[in-house]
Amino acid sequence: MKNALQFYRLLLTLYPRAFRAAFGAQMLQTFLDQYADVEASEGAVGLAFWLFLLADEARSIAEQHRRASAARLALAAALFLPLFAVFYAALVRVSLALPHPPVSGAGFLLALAGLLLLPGILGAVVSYTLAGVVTAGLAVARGTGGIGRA
Amino acid sequence: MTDIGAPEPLTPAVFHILLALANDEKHGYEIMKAVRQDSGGAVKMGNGTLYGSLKRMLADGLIADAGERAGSDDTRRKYYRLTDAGREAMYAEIRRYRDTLESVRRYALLPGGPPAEKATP
Repeated sequence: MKNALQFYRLLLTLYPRAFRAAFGAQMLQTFLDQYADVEASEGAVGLAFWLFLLADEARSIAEQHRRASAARLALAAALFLPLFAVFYAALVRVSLALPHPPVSGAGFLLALAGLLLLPGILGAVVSYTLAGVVTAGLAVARGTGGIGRA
Repeated sequence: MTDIGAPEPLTPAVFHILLALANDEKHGYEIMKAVRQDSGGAVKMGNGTLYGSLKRMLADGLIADAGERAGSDDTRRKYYRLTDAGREAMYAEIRRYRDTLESVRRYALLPGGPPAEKATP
C-alpha cells in the first residue's frame, strides 16, 4: 500500500499545479479507498487495476494540461493589448524625455521597430504570467481543496 | 429537428455522476462506485475522469461542494451535492432518453421485444 501511495503521489505531480491544488488530496483519498476496496475484495491488487488506472490518468493529465493552456492563452490574449498600450506609451514617454540625436531613414525605422518590439515582448511575458496566476487562483477557488489524512 | 432551446446532451460520465448524486450527497469514491453500479459496469470511471468531470461540473454549476465529513474510518472526505441546475440538466437528459426510448418502441426495435410490425414514422 505504501509503495502504491508513493507512486500515485508521483503521478499526481504530472497534473497542472492548479488542478493538483484543487483536487490532489481528494484524488489521493479516493485512490486509497479504491485500492483498499480492491485489496479487500480480491486479495491483491492486480495488473488490470494498474493498467486501467494508468490509461485513465494519462488521458486525464493530457486533457487537464490542454484545458489549462487554452484558458491561460485566452486570458493572456485578452490582457496583451491593454498591457502593450501601457508599455508602449511609457516607452515613448521615456524615449522622448531622454536626450537623443536626431534620427532619420534606417535609424528612424530601427528606433520605431524597437519601440514596438520591446513593449510587445514585455506585454507578452507579463500577460502570460498574469494569466497563469489568475487561472491558477480561479481553479483553486473553484475546487476548494484538500482533504483526508493521507 | 433540433430544439434550439434544449440544453446540450450530457456525456455519459456527467449524466451518471448527476444520477449518483440525485438522492444524497456523496464523496469521490462513493460516486465512482455508484456510477459503476448504476451503469451495470458499462461506465467504469477512473480517478482522473471522475475529478476532471467534477471540476467541469462545479464550474458549470451542476454540482456544489457539500463540505467535509468524517466517515466510519475517521477520515475526512469532501462531499458533493446536486444543484438545482444539475437536477434540471439530469431531468432534461432523462426526457431525452425517454423520447428516444419511445421512438425505439414505436419501431418495435427493443431487443427481445415483439417482431417489428409496421413502423409508424
